[in-house]
Amino acid sequence: MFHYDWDWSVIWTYRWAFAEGLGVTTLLSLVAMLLGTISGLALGVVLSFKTPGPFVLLRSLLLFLIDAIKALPPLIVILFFYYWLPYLTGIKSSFWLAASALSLSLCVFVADVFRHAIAGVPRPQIDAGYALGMSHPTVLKRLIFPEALRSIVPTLGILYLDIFKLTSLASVIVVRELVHRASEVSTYTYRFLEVYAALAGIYLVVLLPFSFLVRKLESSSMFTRRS
Amino acid sequence: MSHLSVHNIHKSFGDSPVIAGVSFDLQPGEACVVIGPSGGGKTTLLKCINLLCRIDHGRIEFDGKTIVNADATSSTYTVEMDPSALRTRIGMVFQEWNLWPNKTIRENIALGPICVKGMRKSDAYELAEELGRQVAIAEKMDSFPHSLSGGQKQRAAIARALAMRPELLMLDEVTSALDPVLAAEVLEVMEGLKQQGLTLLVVTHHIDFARAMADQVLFLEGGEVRETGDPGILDEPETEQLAWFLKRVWRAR
Repeated sequence: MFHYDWDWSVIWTYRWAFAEGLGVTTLLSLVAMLLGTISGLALGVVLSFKTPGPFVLLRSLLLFLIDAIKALPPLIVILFFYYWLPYLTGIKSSFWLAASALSLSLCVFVADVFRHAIAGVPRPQIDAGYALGMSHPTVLKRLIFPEALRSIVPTLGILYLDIFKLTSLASVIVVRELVHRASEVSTYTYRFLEVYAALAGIYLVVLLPFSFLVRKLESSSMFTRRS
Repeated sequence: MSHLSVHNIHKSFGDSPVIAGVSFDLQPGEACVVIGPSGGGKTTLLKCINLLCRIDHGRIEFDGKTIVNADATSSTYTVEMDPSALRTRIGMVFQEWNLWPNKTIRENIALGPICVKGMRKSDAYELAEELGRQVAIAEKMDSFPHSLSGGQKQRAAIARALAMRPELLMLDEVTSALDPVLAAEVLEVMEGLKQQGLTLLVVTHHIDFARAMADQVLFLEGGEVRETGDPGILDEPETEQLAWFLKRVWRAR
């Protein structure tokens, strides 16, 4: 019969390691969310223009790159960045390498979601703007972008949830985030079960309320209003 | 001088012609009512006039100036008036109102003057308030479109078009999606506009309404004007097609 003497005191002893790890995880997520969202929205806008000419080629190229990055596991992107970017750019900080890799992974999804949201703004709403004499830029700025942005908020919530979890991958390139700190603690103490249970607990405490919030957003009339 | 004059315009979508040589003149302050079966080119006609649709052939003049001139044989299409400027002068109200769902009624009405005419927000909101009273939706100004009845939405859409102070207003089957009581509310608003002297181009299936307020009736079928004249033609149609159409409309009531 399996017998194990539980010793939860290690969690309390190493509480600051967990706290610091959570801090780094949170910071890494926030940076990735911020950069990934801004670049993704910008990319989505660029892709929503379907003007003919040389731009068509650029657009197809971007769409191909997006598909390629979507097809790569985020861990591969992180490792690729870790081994290649220092040579190409001189960035050596693991934190920033991981942040850029995660931003890129998020960026491609945000770009796709926003591009579809822009295309999905009902034509009649757009015609109503033109019929009042609005110019094309005004219609984009005052009607299409606000409507598209509003409609992607719940989806962004789900993507953010994912990014927060994906930061754990940064542990492989020695970013001292939560998983990395937890594995350190477990190797000092040999208390693997307690440490990883605590680790799971911390993720749940942070993400369950967030999931709940996202579900609220999905059903909120703010984002599903129809005339 | 005609306020609006349409000369022999043609428009096809792909291989199917939607408008095949329509001409008419509209005098200032006149109300022209366009009737005819669905798919007869009525909506497309309105969209061609405010340049939301590109004509293949023909010429349209507004206030004595050419808006657009197109020639099918040489495939030329020349817009001679700035579309934005033109659309501020020719208002359009859509069959399904097309209100912006995430803006309040006040914002819906005020956005045009703010964005296009550069009106100050406070002035535009005041104007919205005034128009809201005119079309009897003053108590709904802070609501979002989804909480309004169909008739209220359509009146809000009319107020939104009026906020640009158009010289000519085009109304596209604005009562078709409404039940008779709600339609009556909207028709009352339209009669008010006519009394104010606004030039109106109205697509409708309300024959009674056409009889009461039209100065000119156009019967459009298969992309052509089959019959035109004063509202008298609604009682004594000359063509078989109009007689048949009127009989159908009466039976549906």
